Amino acid sequence: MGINLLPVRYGHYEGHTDICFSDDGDKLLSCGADGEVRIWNGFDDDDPLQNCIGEFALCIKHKGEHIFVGTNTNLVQQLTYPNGDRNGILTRFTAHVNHMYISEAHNWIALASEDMTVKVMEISTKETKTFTINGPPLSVSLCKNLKNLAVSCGDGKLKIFNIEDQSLIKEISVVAKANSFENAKELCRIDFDQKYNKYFAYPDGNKISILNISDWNEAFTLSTDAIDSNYSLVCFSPCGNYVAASTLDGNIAVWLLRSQTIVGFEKQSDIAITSLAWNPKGNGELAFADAQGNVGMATNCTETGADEDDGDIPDEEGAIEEQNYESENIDFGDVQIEAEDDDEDNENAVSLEKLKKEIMGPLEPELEAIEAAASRSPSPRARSVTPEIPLQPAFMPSSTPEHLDPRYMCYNEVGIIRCYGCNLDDDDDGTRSIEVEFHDSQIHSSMMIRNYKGYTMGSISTAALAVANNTVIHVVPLGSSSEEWHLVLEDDEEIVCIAASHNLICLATANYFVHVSTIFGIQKAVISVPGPILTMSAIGMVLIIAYHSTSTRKGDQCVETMLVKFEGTTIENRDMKVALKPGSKLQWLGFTDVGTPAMMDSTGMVYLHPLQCNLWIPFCDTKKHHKSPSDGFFMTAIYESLGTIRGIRCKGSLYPGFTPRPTLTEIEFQPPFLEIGTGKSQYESSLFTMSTLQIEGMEKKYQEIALKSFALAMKNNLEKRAVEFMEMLGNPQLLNLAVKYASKFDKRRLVEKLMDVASKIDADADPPTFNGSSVSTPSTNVIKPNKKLLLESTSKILNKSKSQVSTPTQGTPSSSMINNTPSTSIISTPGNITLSDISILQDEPKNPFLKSLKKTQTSAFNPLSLTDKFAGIEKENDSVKSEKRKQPDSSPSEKNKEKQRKLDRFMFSKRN
Amino acid sequence: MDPDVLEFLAEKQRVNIIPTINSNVIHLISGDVGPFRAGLPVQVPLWMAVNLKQQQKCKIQAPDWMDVDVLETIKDREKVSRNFIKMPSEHYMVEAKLLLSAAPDDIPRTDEIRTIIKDIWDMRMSKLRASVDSMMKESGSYAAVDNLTIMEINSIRPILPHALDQLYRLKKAARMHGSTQSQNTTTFNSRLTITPFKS
Repeated sequence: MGINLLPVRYGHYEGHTDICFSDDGDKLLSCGADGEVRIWNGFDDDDPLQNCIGEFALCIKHKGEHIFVGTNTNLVQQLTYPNGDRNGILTRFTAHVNHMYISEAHNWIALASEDMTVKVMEISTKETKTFTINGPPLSVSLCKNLKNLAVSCGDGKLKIFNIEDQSLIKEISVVAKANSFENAKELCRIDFDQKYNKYFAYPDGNKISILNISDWNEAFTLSTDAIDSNYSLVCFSPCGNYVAASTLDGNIAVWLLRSQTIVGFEKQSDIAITSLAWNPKGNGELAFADAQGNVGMATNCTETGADEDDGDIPDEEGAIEEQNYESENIDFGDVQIEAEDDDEDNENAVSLEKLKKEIMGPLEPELEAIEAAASRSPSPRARSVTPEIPLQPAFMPSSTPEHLDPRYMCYNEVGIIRCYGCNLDDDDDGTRSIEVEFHDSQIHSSMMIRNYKGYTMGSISTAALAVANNTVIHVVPLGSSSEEWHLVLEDDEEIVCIAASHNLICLATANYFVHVSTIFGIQKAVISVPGPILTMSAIGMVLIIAYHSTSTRKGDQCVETMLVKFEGTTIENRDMKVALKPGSKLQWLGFTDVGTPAMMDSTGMVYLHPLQCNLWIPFCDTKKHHKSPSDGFFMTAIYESLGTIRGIRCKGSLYPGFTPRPTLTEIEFQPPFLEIGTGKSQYESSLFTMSTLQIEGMEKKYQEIALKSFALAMKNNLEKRAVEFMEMLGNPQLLNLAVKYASKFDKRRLVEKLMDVASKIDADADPPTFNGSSVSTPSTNVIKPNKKLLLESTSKILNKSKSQVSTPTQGTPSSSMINNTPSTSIISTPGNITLSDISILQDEPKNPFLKSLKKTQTSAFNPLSLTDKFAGIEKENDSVKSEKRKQPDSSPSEKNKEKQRKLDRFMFSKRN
Repeated sequence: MDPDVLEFLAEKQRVNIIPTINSNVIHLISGDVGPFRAGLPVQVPLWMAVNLKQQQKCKIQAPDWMDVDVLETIKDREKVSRNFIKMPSEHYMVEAKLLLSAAPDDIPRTDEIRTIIKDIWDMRMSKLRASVDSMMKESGSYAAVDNLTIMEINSIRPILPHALDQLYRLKKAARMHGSTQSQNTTTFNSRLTITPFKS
């Protein structure tokens, strides 16, 4: 009994049709000229799974979890197996893929494209080798050990390459010439023997030539007298013992390789066969498809051969078994690995399997085998290739994304640039506009600009407004708006980011260049940045540029910054790394008001880079101030001198809306110390903040918090900590206070220890270790508090406090004014002027009655001070004055009565 | 008291503004105001807000209740309720008048707000008049009214207490009727026009 040809069935439209078996041989996969991929659950399946993936599909192959299909869209589409859902793209070409070849033995795929290239690609890693040929390739094949690649080409040549060094090993002129795949009559499908890696077969007219791989000489030819038409396709059986071939007129023939005898041949119709595929199960099934779109199946292709030659049976069976076993093994491993991988990839997923395994120990091997088999057949989930995390694209700090309309181009400490209609088409440019508003109207009044050129970037400073699109930057100096200027870039350059400061206008291009100009348009410098520019910001003469130093590292963006100073005509640079949280992106970059570089990452953490420390310090976690996790904080500015971050809290989004007008809020610095909920950590974190930053007027606060901290340690009987604390601060003034405080609580040992520390500090020859005043002195940009005023008022207070301390009564309002701190109790020690004036100093700016207080002090006696609550307070025991003080209580009531009387009279008179 | 005085009182109410200037703390008798930082909301007395707005030195943020939706619900409640409902602000009329006239560009939908507030006011005033009317008709001598704002009280201020006063005197006179004519001739004389109705 020869080959049994089952009746063909309709598969696809008329045209080139391709067919292959799934790896396990259970399913048939076909694709055709209708662009559909069909997954047949066996040849008898009347309702195949189908998925349309394009206008036409030329080739299909299956490996593991993926089906690969070459489509009209010039790409190799990946589909999941067995569901047939789209699952990414393997690779792209500039023309459609004519043929591909996957060997069972390894994970490489050969792809032949009409654009005259052949790629050999590792499927998972996408490692690729590209071969260029001189005509449209018709067919490719890979040998088992990945040494050789054979390509049949429309220029008439069959070429065999060495994959390793891409050298041409042999060239045979055997192929019928064709100018394209569509026009080729003979497809010249070639095949390597995948079992023994011994032979290479190609169709050669009306015979099949078999080459020896070892020396590339012809071993023998196969032919039969019954068929005289030209062969077009050749295919080795998976067991390696048979060769199937088909002709242009629909003949299918099978030979036994060993004896070179024909097993059988059959003719379906006169239609050319376009695809042949052996069932990998080795059960003698041979699937084919023809140019009419029909799908056919031939069975029994091997058994007759076995009948003829008895010796083959055990051999072959063994081979088949071995193969099955192998494939099972491979699949088994795959499935297991996938399951584990999945769990590891997704830590949050609770895997029942994993739990079971952990609790019950490993499953018995039989069970495992069953499980593996079971999990293979239904739907092994496609392992999605984790997408590479791309480099963060360039952005402008404090701007909202470009797809929004209207959007904020810039929202910084100086003003707001709003952009309307930026997403409209070009012909609508009449409605595109830019609106500039200044927070401080004294800098400049609001502006409105028509956005004819479609500017997308904007930056605003106290001296200039800069807007830019990809090729032009337009600058409006605020000092004299008539001196507007613009710069046009050359064709090959593109602006990615701009920055304006009081002195500089900077623009970064896609060529990693940064051009620097002055406010009125003198080009000052051009510098080159060692990487793709991410963002930049400028203050005064200083520019900070963030760039990608390398590609991403496991999802982390590798960003570095340059701090460049353009003083006069000189340039100075300082490189700084950027410390971002894992997996986060840079969201804001800028400076504080005193010029410290600052940034915020996408987790909402704000970092400052104090130049004397030369490192990034996290200063505020804006996420902690959110009510819900979806809220965002849109940062606009940092005020180091005030110790606050200014921005907009956005409910449920990352970016602020337009109506209602968003309101700015302030968030105070609070470094993320551990256990921040406790008072101790809060004191410590604010001490840390004040000692590293230049916060305005913080000397008193610093001392207050330091003493609080000290007192806390002392009260909890942690003397060592208290001493250590004072040692750490090393501030003699504070130490003095601490000693007094401790002695008041009768902590003799502590006092002794503190004295030791004091003498040590004194011995260190009063080096200006940290203290409050030394920090607030540097930096020119700090808004200096009005020293004169401060001094004046403190001296007045001082006078008062002296007098007060000397009075025996301590329950005066002035002491209640002092904060309820431990240090206040020190005040009761008479004569301790330094201490009391410090504590009063602390409270001085908060006292809302300061002015009136002073007034009563300066004017000796003011009878008109009826409204002043504290009139006469300093001599409360003075009965005369206290009487005076009562007076205001009585007089208004009298007044009221009189008023009432007047009113009554008024009313009556009206009546009358 | 006349409305000007009430307006003066209402001007002590604090409102949020966004200054467009930078300034240090301003020390006032009633307390400190500021510091003003351009762009950052700060609370100031109403009179200062209006003044700064006139100088174009700030933007006024409308109070929470000065919103069409909020006012609409207040209006509905006022319509349904027999009693007066509590207004969001003791001086809602003055605040609305001042803010809407001073900063129509900062508050969205000023016209609608103005209309609704006027509606509420009218509703409350008619309610007030109706209740005064019923009180008079039932010749009640006292009534408790909650949640009236000072401006509303003031609107019936001269007339109602005086009317009640007169009534009281008339009643008193009626009680004394029959006995010797009363002591206070002036009052008596002044009442002469009304007495015929009563007696």
